[in-house]
Amino acid sequence: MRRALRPAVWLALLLAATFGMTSLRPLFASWFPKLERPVYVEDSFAALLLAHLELVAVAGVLSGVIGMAIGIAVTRPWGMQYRGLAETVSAAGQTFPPVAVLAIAVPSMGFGPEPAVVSLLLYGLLPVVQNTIAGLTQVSSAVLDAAVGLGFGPFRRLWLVELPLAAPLILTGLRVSVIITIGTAAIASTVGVTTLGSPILLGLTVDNTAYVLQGAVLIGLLALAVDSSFEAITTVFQTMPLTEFNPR
Amino acid sequence: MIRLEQVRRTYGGRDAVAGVDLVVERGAFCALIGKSGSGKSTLLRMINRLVEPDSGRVLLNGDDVCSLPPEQLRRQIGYVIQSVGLFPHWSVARNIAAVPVLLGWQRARIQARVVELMALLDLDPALAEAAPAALSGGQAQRVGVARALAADPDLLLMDEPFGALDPVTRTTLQTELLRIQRETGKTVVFVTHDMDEALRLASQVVVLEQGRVVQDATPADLLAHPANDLVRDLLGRWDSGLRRLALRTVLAATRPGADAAAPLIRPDSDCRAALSRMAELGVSVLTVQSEDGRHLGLLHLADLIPG
Repeated sequence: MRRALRPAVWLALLLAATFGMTSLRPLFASWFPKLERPVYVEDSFAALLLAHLELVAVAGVLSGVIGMAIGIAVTRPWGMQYRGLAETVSAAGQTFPPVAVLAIAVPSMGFGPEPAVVSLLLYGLLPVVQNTIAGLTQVSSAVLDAAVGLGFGPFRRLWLVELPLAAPLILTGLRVSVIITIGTAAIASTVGVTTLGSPILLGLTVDNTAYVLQGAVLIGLLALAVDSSFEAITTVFQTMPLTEFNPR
Repeated sequence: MIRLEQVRRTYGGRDAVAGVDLVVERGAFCALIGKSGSGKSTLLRMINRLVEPDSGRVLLNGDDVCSLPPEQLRRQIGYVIQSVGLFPHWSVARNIAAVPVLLGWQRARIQARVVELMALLDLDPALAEAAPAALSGGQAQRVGVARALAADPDLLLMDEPFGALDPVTRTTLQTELLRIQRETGKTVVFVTHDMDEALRLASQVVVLEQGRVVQDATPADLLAHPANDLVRDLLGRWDSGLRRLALRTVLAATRPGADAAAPLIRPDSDCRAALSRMAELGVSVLTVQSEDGRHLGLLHLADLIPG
């Protein structure tokens, strides 16, 4: 019950901050008396939040789908030989700073969401690939031997046995990936995409600490809300009733 | 039922199975026995095509197993392994129902079959919704056997199924397996390294050494005429006489008569147990009495040793 409550609390705080930020103007004005405009007004915070979420959703879904596909492929008998390569490439994707990817991608793709999605997607790939591989390889060999011996084909083995048993670890990978994407998505504003990073970037440029603070607080709350939702889902997964063949 | 013709399989230049010919008749209980690395598991796994032979043929009811789709083949063959391998995310009932579900049986039929199998394996019906993690080792293997029998296969392959169980549980499960095999007339191929287990359960004992069949005989023949030193070693050189006694029931050695002083023994005990009882009690005559109290005769020490 408390577990289920936590995401609701963070979500409520996030919405309150999003819609109430402008009304906090007197507060920011007193904190930063030298600033002429203590609250970001170029866009509404709700619009920033939505745009940020959209970018995270697109990049997150893509790195989730691609990462899981890679993880599944390299744990099949026919893909085993590419496992090292996949791990190296996805690790390199994360070592490479997203800003650098943006710098490389913009000349070929132009300004806008596309290079941002590409750099976020690469950055978020590693945890998904690693956890999918870890989840699938920790399935006990006795269980797999039994599945093969009883006559499960490759697809049923994956769908009915391996993926359900790997689900908690895969979910953890997705969670890490989405959380780092939420934080990193702010840099997309450097290539002209509106995100919660926009007030931060503008704040840094015009030396307006209040803007930076407003963007950062919202990004932090968003990350906490999403993270606690993932935690709640993981808990549900772990306490999920065993698959019954005859639910009443 | 099963015919292996010059079956050979090599792993890394070494023959795991080096040209084996073997026939297992319908209804037989065949034990494959040998030391580690003798190729017994590989041989077993060739029957349901978990391992494919490099050369030679494995025929099941006259069909080469390599000509059948592997999934379809395996669904017709029960398979039990030492580590059980229950699906941890499925309830006991769902585990037992695995193959019937694959075969697309009606729900009501599956449900009835699960209930029937849980009764056959002496599993508490309350365990149906339990998680495999909540089971004891013995219960888990009962579920493993029930799962293998679910689609009523004619053939059951068992790879050291009771090897990880404590001696008491192992004996209980052996007894039940024997009962089930006799009741259902299934063909069983059973891998073990325990000669007592092989002699107790099997109607046909196949001794393997370095991928070759050393001896293929009934338990009595094996004891009477071990083919070589390996077989003698597996039999245990010093107590093979006792093992022969263990193959004979008390009833077979009973003669008419009565002796009020002689302690009781059941007719379905084996002669080794009878000898042990005589030694323990310091007597040379036992009264043979059935479970319902019927007097059947006497068992004399001299009659234990077959002439």
